[in-house]
Amino acid sequence: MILKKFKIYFSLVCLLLVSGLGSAQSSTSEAENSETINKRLYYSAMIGFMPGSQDDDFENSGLRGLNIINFMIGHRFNQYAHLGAGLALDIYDMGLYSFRLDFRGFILKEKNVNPYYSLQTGYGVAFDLNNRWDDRLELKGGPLIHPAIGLMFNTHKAGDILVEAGYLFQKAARNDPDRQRFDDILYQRLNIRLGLIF
Amino acid sequence: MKNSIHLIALLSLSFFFSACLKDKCEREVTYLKATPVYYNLEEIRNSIELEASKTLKVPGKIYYYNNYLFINEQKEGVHIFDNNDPQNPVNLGFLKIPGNVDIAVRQGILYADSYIDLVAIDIRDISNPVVLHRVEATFPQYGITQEGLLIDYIYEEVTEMRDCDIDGIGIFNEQIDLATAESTGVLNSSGGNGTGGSLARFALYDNYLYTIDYSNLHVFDISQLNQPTEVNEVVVGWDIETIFSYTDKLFIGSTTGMIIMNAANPTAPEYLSSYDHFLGCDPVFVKEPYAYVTLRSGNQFCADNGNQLDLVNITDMSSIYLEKSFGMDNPHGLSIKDNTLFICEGDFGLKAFDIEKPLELDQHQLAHLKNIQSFDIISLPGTNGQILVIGTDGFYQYDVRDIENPVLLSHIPVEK
Repeated sequence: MILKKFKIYFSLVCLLLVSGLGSAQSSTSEAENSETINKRLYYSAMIGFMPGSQDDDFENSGLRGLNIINFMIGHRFNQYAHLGAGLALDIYDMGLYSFRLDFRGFILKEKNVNPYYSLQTGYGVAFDLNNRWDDRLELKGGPLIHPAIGLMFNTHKAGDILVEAGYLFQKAARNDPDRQRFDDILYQRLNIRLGLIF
Repeated sequence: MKNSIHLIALLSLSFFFSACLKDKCEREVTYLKATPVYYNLEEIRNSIELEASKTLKVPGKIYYYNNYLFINEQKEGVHIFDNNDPQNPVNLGFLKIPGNVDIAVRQGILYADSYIDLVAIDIRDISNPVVLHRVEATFPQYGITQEGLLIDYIYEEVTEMRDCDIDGIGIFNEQIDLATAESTGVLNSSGGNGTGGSLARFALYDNYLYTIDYSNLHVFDISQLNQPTEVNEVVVGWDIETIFSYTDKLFIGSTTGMIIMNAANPTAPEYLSSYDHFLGCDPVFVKEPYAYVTLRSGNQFCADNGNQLDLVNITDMSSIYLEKSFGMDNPHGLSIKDNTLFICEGDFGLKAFDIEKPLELDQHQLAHLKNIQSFDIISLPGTNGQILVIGTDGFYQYDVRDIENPVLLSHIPVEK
């Protein structure tokens, strides 16, 4: 069931990606310069999925891994150094709101397809995805780090498209007193994201 | 368009590659770790010998034979005392018998368990005991493995981090009962037999030695005293604890009831009747028309259901029934001398009751020795009025001819 959901989600992401790239390609002939890369302030919004598995017996939910939203706002110091901050919501077998610092830079200047690097780090706060009437489960978040590389596709409009692949390390903990278990978890997921930058 | 194809191919590849990705999850688990202890079987079998006298450390059952007092040191052997002068028992030495819990003596031959074996030892010359015979591998509660004889487990609480996907987390509270000492042995005292206490797992009757493990009754022919031979093994039930021989009947105590076996045919005792009680440890002593059964709580084997003395009417031994129960503190072994019932109350001392009217015994408590610990007792036959009491704090010997004013004859303390 979870795998099926992922396939649907993956298909949607691919569809968005293809349509975004198509838009970028069709716009290439209209203008060469990105309208966003030279602005001092940037905003980015991304979604993604984080396939992986946990293989423990908790909730039988090892395949769950979504990056529901990742919203950043920041300042461009120059082409190679952007610094921002923002919020993200990630879903594993628990949910994690995270506050993140965002550092990124672009390799090229004013190209239709521009490679970039990114590093996000922050701290996630955990919450339970299931409402248990007798819930005594204690969830705890932890620090995260997320290096990524990607491509920015110049749409020559208000926003450019970001496609990236990264790897997310997220610490968390789970205390289940009913089963006398304390789990120290390190989520380590490939994170494929799609988004927009303004 | 080429870029799009490359990117989709990359994403697809990474999606399938992602099947190899796996979170790390470590689980803190706290559990009781059981580490097996193995002994070399040949070394065990060659190590029975009389050693120099030692102090008591962890005393087990007591046994009396021909003015000699035997005090078991749990799973190590037997302290031997010359008790001709009850006020001054003389420690003669320590008979090392690895794995020993129970003994019985007939005509100078001591029968002892040594882990899985039954050993016959000639003690007629007490200063030079000689092993006469060994019935090998007759008690099944110890396992023979490639590493040796599994004789015990060392338990320790362990907290450690383990991979979350490993379900098994060691051995939890594994309880392999390796004959912890809770028996001593009231033996039929005819024919040159010794006398034990009510917690016995050995009993003598006719030309037979009866022993119990946790489910079976073993029958050994000892008509040739120096060569005991196992002639039968009878399934009795689960969690068997004690055996008491009375006439041609065997009263067997288990954690869930008392069973009477008819030993009219001594080689093949047969089930006669039983009565069930709540889960608890229950030594038995018989004085017709009642079987006196103590039930206690307080450890993992005895559960925690209560402490009482049951009077089971055995007038018709094929149809026995509980007639009355009396509340107790923590009753262990018991004994009867004439009309006096002695009950070891563990940390609560030793009590004596007049049982001329058994159903009113609670109204006739004769004495309560509160300042000793006791788990088993032997009341010696004869007119000297001697009782022998063993507890976790040592061995006591009293003169109870004036039962309301018992006189302490001697005390052998436990080394602290």
